Amino acid sequence: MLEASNLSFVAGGRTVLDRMSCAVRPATVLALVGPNGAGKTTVLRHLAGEIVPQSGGVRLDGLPLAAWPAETLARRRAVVSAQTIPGNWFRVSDLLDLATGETDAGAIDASPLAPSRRSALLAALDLSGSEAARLDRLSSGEQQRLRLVAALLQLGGDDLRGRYLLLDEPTSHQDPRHLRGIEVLLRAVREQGAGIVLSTHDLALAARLGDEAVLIHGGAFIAQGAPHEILTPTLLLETYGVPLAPLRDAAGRIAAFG
Amino acid sequence: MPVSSEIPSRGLAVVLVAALVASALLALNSGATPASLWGLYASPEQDARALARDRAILLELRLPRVVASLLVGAATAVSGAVLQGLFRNALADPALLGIMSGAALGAGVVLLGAGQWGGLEVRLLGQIGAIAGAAAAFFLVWSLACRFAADRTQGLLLAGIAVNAAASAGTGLLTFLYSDSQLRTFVFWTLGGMGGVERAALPFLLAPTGIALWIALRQARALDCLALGEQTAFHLGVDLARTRRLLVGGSLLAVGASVAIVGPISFVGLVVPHVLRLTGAVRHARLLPLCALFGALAVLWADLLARILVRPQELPLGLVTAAFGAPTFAYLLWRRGKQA
Repeated sequence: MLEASNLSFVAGGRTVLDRMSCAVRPATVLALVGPNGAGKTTVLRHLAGEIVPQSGGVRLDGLPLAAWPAETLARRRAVVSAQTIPGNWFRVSDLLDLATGETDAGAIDASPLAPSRRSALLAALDLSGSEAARLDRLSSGEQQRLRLVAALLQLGGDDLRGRYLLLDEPTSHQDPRHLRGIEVLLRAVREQGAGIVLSTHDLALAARLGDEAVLIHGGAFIAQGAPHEILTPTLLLETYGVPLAPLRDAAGRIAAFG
Repeated sequence: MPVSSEIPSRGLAVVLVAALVASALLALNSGATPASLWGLYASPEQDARALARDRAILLELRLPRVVASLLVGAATAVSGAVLQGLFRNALADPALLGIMSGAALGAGVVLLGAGQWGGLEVRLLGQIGAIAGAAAAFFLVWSLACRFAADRTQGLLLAGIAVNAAASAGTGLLTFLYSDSQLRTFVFWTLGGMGGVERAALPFLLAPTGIALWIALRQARALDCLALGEQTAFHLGVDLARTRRLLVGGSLLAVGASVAIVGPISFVGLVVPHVLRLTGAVRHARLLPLCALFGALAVLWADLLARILVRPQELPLGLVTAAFGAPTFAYLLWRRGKQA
């Protein structure tokens, strides 16, 4: 289990997080929902081990993140942050090599460790044939999907039990078709045992995919529970200040909030 | 950079090695006197004294400087590539970050205490002084840069300017304290040159260069990850603090050791990695060995030109590297500006 307890974080005199707690269990999706500036990214950065907690703590399997060597931690959790990464002439294949931990000794004639999984993941997110492309020539949607592929390769093979995937608005640049592709992939990843933290503004995605949702606002925890209990018109009005209710499609799936 | 301009790294390495061998032979056989390797064997009727003289010129004068050029070039270029990668700054190089001037000041202080560059002990002391000076300068630059929380990369260069100026002021002050002969020694040394390199000094260049290159190659994946940003590098499992310690340590060692023996060499650390990146070698497992080869070749030629252009006089090495490095760098800037 990856859990944050009582995180408080003050930056530049502003309280970004105020006694925030959340936990993600294997084979579940935790949706992190809240308005802009609510503190979702800061929670994720704590969970990633990037920020050392000012107060409170983050534990992976009961051990504080600071006690995990960076290299070991990288095999247990992977991150897709919201910023685009600088390309610096690197190619898609370079990023994937680095994610799989391809040793540099073999880099001159890089042969991917698990070529089948690599190409399967690329195909799943409509990136087949992009391996020779430079990172900075990808569209923002492509780069976002590529980084999800890289994160999954970083976590290793098909058995993802005890591995965690931290996603900061992973669908913000996606068109409806690719959004669907990501959703399908994330369901499969959950089936394989990974715990997923999904920070998103797409309430419908959070409702469809989340086993649990956390609503935060102003760095503080508003509510936590099953998505249908959390993403209610009352709580959403309170949090976002606009009336929002789930809209269902013909099949009864939540298609949007409006 | 269009894909078509890429040059296969392996082919490039082969060409560089061949060029190195050929150039080293040429350098051994060129100089103020016509002594040559073939001369030692080809003309048995030569009198013994001339033969011994030629032999001494080749083995005691030219060979050490050829080997020293190769090592200094490799160390400087690899350090440049490492610092650029580590700080994700295209302008990071041992000279601009204040490391070279710090090393020069450190060695200069030792010269003041020692009287003259003399035997091996003085050289060693000079190296220790230079490495200490390089380390002091770098940690000053680093602490200043860390104040620029938002943009440490830019902070490094600004702090480098400040520390460079301070170190230059320090070396300027030294010149007032030196005796006339010390002053001459110091001035020639600060301009850079392989002239005074003895064979006994070579291990003291070889060991630090070897260590720095070894560390750099072991950290090649970390440097690759850093090219994608510090945050991404951490996500990919890079221990940022440890990587920084190792790579900075290796670079300080190699640069300090080389500055103490041959003086500061400008532009090699800056330009060589940039030129090689243009060939498509951006992954450090390829870039670093190519830098070692190309850096060695560049300094070897710079020293060769320094020796033969104004024969029997000799140009300062730093002058030659700057004369070629500055326009190359300007061209790279111009080229990149055009692309942006």
